[in-house]
Amino acid sequence: MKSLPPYPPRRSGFTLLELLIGMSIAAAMFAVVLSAGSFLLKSLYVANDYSNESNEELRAMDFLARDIRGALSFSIPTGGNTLTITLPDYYTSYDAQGNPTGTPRDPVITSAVVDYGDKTKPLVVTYFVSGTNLVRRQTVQATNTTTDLLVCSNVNAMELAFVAMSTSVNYSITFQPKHQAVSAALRAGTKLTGTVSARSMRFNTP
Amino acid sequence: MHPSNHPKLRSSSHGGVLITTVLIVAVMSMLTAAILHAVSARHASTYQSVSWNEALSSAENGADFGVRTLTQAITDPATAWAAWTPSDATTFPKTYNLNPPAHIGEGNTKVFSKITVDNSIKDAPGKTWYRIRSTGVAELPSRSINGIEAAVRDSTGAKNHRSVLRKPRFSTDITGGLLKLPQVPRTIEVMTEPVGGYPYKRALTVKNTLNFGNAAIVDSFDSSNLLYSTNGQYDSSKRRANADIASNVSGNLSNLGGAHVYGDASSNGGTFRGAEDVQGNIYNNFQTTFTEIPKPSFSTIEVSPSTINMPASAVTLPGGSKDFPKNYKLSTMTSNGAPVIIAPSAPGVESYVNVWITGNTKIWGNSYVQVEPNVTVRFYFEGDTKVTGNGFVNKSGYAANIQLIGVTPASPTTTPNMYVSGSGGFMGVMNAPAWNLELSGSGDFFGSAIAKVANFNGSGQFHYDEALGRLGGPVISAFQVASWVEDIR
Repeated sequence: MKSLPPYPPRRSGFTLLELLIGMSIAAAMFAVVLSAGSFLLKSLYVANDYSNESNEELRAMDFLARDIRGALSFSIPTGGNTLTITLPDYYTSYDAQGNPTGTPRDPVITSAVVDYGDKTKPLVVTYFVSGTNLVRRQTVQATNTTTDLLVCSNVNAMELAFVAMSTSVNYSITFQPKHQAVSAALRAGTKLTGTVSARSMRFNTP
Repeated sequence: MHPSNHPKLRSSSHGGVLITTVLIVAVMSMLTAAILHAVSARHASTYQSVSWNEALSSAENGADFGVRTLTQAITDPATAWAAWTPSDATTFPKTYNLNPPAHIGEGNTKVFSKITVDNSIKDAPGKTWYRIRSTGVAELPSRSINGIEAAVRDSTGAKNHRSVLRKPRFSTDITGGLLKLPQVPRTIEVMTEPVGGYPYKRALTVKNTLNFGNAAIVDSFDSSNLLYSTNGQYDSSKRRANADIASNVSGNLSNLGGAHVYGDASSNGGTFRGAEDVQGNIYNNFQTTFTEIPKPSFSTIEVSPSTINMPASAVTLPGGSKDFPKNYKLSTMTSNGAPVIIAPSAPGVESYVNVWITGNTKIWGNSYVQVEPNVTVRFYFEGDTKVTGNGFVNKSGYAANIQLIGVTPASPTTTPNMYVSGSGGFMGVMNAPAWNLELSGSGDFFGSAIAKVANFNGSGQFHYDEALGRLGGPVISAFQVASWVEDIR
């Protein structure tokens, strides 16, 4: 019996036209995905910057508010770029970065004024901008130990002023300009402002 | 064999589409994951900030609650600490958990305060200051550490997370299960100073108006100083000019009636009428607060008598020691014939008596209230009081030995009346900042008075005993925050 001729071979692959159309569609899809991805990545960077800067701002507010509220006294030297605060020496010991490691002291009342530790040697805390960092320098006078903390970075400037009666401080911290998601131009640096009153400051001693 | 089953005849284009789809989905998924991660971090960061501030608010609420309880305990020591542990009036330290109502829905998180008050700190004169430590805790609505701020760096660039003020707790519950984890705690310590003053530091202090019906003399002496008194008694030849008078309202509303006031006259604005003979300075910038007088709180009360109502014979109320005075609570005290004698515990023994009259008091006719030598008595009046006839007889000769105290009524619109007259005048102090006070009769007044309204219609003179300025020590009227520290451990 004579065998049947082989089944005609099916055409394999694509025509040139199909290939071109397919590649065009694929290229367009990848272009859309990549450009969207690029934009999203840039947005993410900006969002991340925003988030980080928010944390920097909050940290600056935390430290300034905490220190000024508990201040025994404070001064703003000429120029208004530095804030020096005296604070009660509240803890029995501190670590190398100025964090409390000891326990709170019992207060001593002298002439109706509350003192912790040696009242002649309160903590001295100074805030200033060094380079682009806001620095909190703490000196424990009782042990003559000075430590620096970089509270936040990307800072351009800090301005300070007393509010009336010199019991409160207006502070203003300007951060560096940041990138924007939809523009190549930098957006203006954030200016963080606030007012804090010293709750422990005493004016007269009976 | 069916052609479609021929291995060499199947198209390979299906695999290419699949791979392309998988790649695109993978890229999109990664982008979505990155977005969600960033959003999640910012979301958590926002919650962290909210909780951080709520924790401080909660801590300060706790401190305020402590200050408020201390102030309440000045006038109501028996019940002010009822919800604290321990609940008695004298045992410290005390603790209290301030639990807000359960939060439902969106918005703020649930917060909690733990307050501790201790009295272990005293100043050099021995005055007790109270230390309030308040820990406010807020729930942190996040299970992730995403958004928790980075560690702060020291000058060498070394990071140290302990340097960050915000220290959320993810595993240690400090509320005893009242709040969920994670939590943000903040602790503050405030020192509170008792504030107040000596009540009898002026001759006369009134909340409202002051009127002298006749051209009286208002001067001072010092029963504790022989230079300014004779055997502790007033001597016009040793008259002093420290008999200050003050009104807490405009001076225009008062009339000094041309009284010779040997001291300063102060009002809260305006100008006193009839002030032409004030020998001292006249001020119109006076302003003060008055300590309301609560009902007394006696640990023990004598069983008898429970009332004095027109007795046929003299009624004697013996005293006790300074630490254990005899306390009497009377529903009324009226008499027009028999006297009421406030006696020492034994002849010549220094004695103390407290008499609390919840109803009206009326002494008239031949009756009188006699306070024997060496006896100090405090009358706490709740109802209208009228003492005429022979009035109060102070056998000790010192104003500090008779103290008439007008309890502040519950209703601010009620103003009880205290009327004291008598041929022998009156020697004692009156502290009734919510009462109308009227002094009449021909006798002189020796002592000091605090009233809402004071009218002097008699012909007698007013002699302020400067020794009263130190009577009883300073009266604590409130507590004020003297220092504020946040514990950042």
